[in-house]
Amino acid sequence: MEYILLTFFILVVILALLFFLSWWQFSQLGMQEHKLKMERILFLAKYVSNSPYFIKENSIFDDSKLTAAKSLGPGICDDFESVFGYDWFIKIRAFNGDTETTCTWTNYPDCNSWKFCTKNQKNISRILPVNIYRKIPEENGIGIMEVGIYI
Amino acid sequence: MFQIIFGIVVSVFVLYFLIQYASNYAGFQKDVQKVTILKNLKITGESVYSYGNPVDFPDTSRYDFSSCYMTINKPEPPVIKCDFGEIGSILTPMLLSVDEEVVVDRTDLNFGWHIMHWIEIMPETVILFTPMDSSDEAWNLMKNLTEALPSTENLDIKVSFGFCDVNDVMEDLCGGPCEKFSFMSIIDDHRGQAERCRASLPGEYKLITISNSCNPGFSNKGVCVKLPQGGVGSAYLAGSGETYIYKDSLDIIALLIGGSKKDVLGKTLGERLYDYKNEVWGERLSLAARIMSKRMLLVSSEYQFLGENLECIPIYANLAGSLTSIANQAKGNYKNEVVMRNLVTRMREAKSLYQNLIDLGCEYYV
Repeated sequence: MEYILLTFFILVVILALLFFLSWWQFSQLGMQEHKLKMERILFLAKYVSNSPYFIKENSIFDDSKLTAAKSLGPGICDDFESVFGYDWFIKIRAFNGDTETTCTWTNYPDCNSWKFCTKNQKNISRILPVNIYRKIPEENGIGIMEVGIYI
Repeated sequence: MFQIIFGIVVSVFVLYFLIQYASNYAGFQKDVQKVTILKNLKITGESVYSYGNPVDFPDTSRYDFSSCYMTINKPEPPVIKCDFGEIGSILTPMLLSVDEEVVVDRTDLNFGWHIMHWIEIMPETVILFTPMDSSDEAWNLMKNLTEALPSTENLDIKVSFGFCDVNDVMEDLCGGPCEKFSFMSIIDDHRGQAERCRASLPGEYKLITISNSCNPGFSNKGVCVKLPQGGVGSAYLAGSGETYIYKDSLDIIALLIGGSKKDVLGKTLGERLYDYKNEVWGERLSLAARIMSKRMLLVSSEYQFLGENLECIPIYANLAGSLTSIANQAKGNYKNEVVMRNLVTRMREAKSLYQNLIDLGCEYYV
């Protein structure tokens, strides 16, 4: 009788150890998920800042390219999925002392804001200072870029 | 006696269960480690894409990744597929061949009005040329291919260059192995026609034969390349009966570093990499051309309104038209020589128009 009880308790301890290892593995994966989201945002920030679709040279956006991309319509987000992935957005705002005005085909270059793939959805983001080349009148300016992902 | 037997039975049962779990866990962890190494390789590739500095990546020597290849995964982004799993969302265009330690470098396709970055991931390799034609076109082709391959001057994993003529393998032409820049400086000193390479080449050697006699069975090693006409030519990969149309160096490099090894479906990894390269190239070129076409019209209409740079306005209009054609043709059949030749003609035209704008001070170098 004692041996049966002993065996039973040994088995319980072994099973508890196995469950503990599995739980540990899953909780690690959960923490990993948040880290991956942050890494993705940082990658997007670097990637967009060096993307030939938007820049004049490394880390300097070209406002005419941004406006041209924007003027292709909301469908451009579907085209950008193969380049930048899913569920992301960027907002770029140039500092020129004026109120925020979204750039369109008709008001360029008297505008200072570009938004891509924005949705009314929960998200996490980061804000970074950026350089913006104003094609007309050919001068460099500064601004901020908010890059984020939807969760 | 009963207690002894009972104890043995219970012990065997517990041990069997534990060993089973431990071996499954070990196998699972091994795959987890392989996936982690590939994820790190992906992150390294993304970093090199952004900053352009080549790096070594030694972790791939720990396991066998030779089954891994790049593939399109529409509507999702491309993935790296291996026999043990896959890594998704590869957003940076990559030409990948993983065997032992690898070097990660960036190369660019410059269209004049747009630049397209590509990551090259390849193991230590010796690239041998067999130019069976000594013309300027052959030498320019070799220089373009060399220029597009990784520069490993300050790295441990080396990509070096040489020639092969029948059984003579010339790989120490620079007082030692020739890396990219040193090979470029001596390549013109070795002008001459070679004969088909018949030397026995170990696995890290990749052969590029240049001849207008290339056909599917011409060479049983590496890639055989016909000289281009109008910027477009055809290439043949050993082990594959297909004709591959090329319009830039990366088409040939994709075949070369993908290689002749076949996957479970009997397709060479070189062909898979070539298909991946062209799908990504076509999609991105089309998107870039659409954006830039709009930009040309936007800028020219603004210059018109302001009365500035009026000499550039007709060039902007022509360039916008060229880019619209490129946007439409870029996703065409990349295996069709006529389609690709038309596209290359349009691209040369666009490049020339953009250069005119730069010369007039209306645009900048990309």
